[in-house]
Amino acid sequence: MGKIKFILIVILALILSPLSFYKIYAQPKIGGFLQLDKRFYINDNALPFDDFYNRFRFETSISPNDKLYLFSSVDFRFYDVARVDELNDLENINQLFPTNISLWEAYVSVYGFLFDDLDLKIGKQRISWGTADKLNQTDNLNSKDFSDIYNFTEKIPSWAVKLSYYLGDYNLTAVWLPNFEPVLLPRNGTSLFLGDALASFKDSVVLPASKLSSSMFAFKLSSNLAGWDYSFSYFNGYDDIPILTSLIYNSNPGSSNPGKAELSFPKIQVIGADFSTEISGIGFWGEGALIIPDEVVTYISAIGMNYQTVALDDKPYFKFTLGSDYTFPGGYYLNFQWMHGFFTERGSALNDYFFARLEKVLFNDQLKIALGGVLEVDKWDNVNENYGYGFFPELTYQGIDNLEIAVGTFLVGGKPATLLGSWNDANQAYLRVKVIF
Amino acid sequence: MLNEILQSPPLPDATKVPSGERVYRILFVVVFLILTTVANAQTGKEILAKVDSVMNAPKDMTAIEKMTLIDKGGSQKDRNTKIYQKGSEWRLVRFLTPADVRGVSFLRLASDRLYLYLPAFRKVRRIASSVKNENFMGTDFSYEDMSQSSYSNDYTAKLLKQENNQYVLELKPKPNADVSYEKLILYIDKSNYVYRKIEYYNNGKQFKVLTVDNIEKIDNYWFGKKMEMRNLKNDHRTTLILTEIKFDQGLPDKIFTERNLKRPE
Repeated sequence: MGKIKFILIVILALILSPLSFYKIYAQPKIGGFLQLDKRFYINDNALPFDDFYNRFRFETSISPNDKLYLFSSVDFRFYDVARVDELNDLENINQLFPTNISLWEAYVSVYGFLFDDLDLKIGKQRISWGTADKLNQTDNLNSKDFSDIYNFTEKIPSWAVKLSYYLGDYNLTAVWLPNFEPVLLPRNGTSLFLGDALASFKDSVVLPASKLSSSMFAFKLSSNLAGWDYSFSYFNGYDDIPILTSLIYNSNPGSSNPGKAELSFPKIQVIGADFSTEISGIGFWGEGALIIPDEVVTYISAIGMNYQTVALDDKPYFKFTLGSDYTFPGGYYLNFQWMHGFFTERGSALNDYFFARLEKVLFNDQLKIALGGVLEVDKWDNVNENYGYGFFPELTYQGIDNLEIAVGTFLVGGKPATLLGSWNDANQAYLRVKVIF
Repeated sequence: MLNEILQSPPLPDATKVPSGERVYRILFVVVFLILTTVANAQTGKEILAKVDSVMNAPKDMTAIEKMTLIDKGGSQKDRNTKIYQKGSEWRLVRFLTPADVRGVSFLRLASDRLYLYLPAFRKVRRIASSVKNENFMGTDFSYEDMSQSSYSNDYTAKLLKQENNQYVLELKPKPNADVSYEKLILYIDKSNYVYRKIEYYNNGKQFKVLTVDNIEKIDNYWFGKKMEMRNLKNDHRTTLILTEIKFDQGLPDKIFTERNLKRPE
């Protein structure tokens, strides 16, 4: 009995010791959100992807002293659609109620590291670059999160060491990313972003080797001149969208498997620049990325013949986003952006996307109406056959603190060869409830 | 003095006064009236300059601000912020509660350099000043109200009257002034030049009113610790109560930077 009591006391002491530490040295803070997101397909011939998920984010932070800040967040995703293919799956709770848990962010910030004007941030973190609204061409440090097609601008925090040096109006940032992390695609929805040419092939994806020479790094210098905020950046790493490097057709014509495909991630350098300013009350911003890829060659083997073709040449290409916003009398907010080159596009195959969003709040900010739209043009010399479009109306109730209830739709269409046209069967309506704590 | 002139011994008979002297007296009265009018206009300008001077007297300030938003039906929402102010231009407002705006921070470096930090996106976003006449984070204060630091720069002042130990000034925008109000009426305490009430007009109608209470002298500066902005159109109001007010702490410039904007409280 004495032994049990001793163990209990030790356990209690271990549990309480961090609390005592917090009590004496710092006050921990908790926060996060619960987002319940109910989606419905609108089309009868809806796509098979079913990665609709809800989220629970739990955040903790603590600042033991004025130079140190620790932050971590855990992301729970719980999915709407059961993953049941066979009877045995009905015996498995994980198949019926799929869930996923991941450490979303976990980092330490050190303010005044080594000297007063130098900050260090180390750990899994989101590093957001660029001045555009979500359509950032220079924001290449974190991998893309395409798991929810409606939120295709999301990013996943990456493990990084970030040093920021401040000198007057100048800020120099250096980032080292030891590991490469690829894009996250929607479950059963890869074709939405990468096309369906390889859908029937047995594929394999080759990640860059996990060694020091494969690590990625970036620099950014930002400042302000005469009311213009600007920055120049450089990134040396990998494109997180894979590209075909090998295709071996099955020599047996009777086989249901047409062959094997291998994909890898192109090495790229990105020279970026951005600005933001205002002229006569109108906000303007822009960012451009000159992308210099290493050449990628695809090896093809078919019917005993081997040959190779250039999948991506080493010719630099330029992607950009220009935007503007204005709040009209009466509280009508208009935001317009022109994106040249979608996130998945590269080389000479860059298309134009024009995004617009009009917002108006009503009833003392209790209700927000937002009308969003996008027009895609792939070939300006034949627009009639090369256009896509999207319409994203949303109504949000925000009358109670920490609560948002939104209903809306994600409607896209266009010519089948366009990106938005290929998403035609992904049209959705949704109800989203978000509680922040 | 005007009274003395007007109350000078009545002329026994106007016809007996030599015409030259009569003209001289009338001319004197007219000149005096003109000078008095001019003097009044200057007084309005001077009063406003003193209001600005009182408002901007501290070199810097920090305070905790509790905002309560109250709708027509009486339901309330609270927001707590920490504010940092340096000179008349630089201001940083950091939201502490509620959870859905916690960590959101607003930085003003000039009338056309406004920044908002959105912690959910880990991003600092520049805001176009066209937002200035919109409500600041759901309150009845506009961005312009929150960042107004000098009325003299933007408005001309006319002294309308003096009543209840207050100066009543009418302010109208100067040509090309970048303000969104057509007219302001300021009620200014004569004893300390703190404004006690501001009426806001657009399209010829008053649509908002600000009242300032709990005026105290803190560290030699007169300061209103409680403010209420009422929207007359929808009867919605926002009260601001300031606590932990500290002046002249020698706030460093680096508080008013993007680096600090992103830094958690």
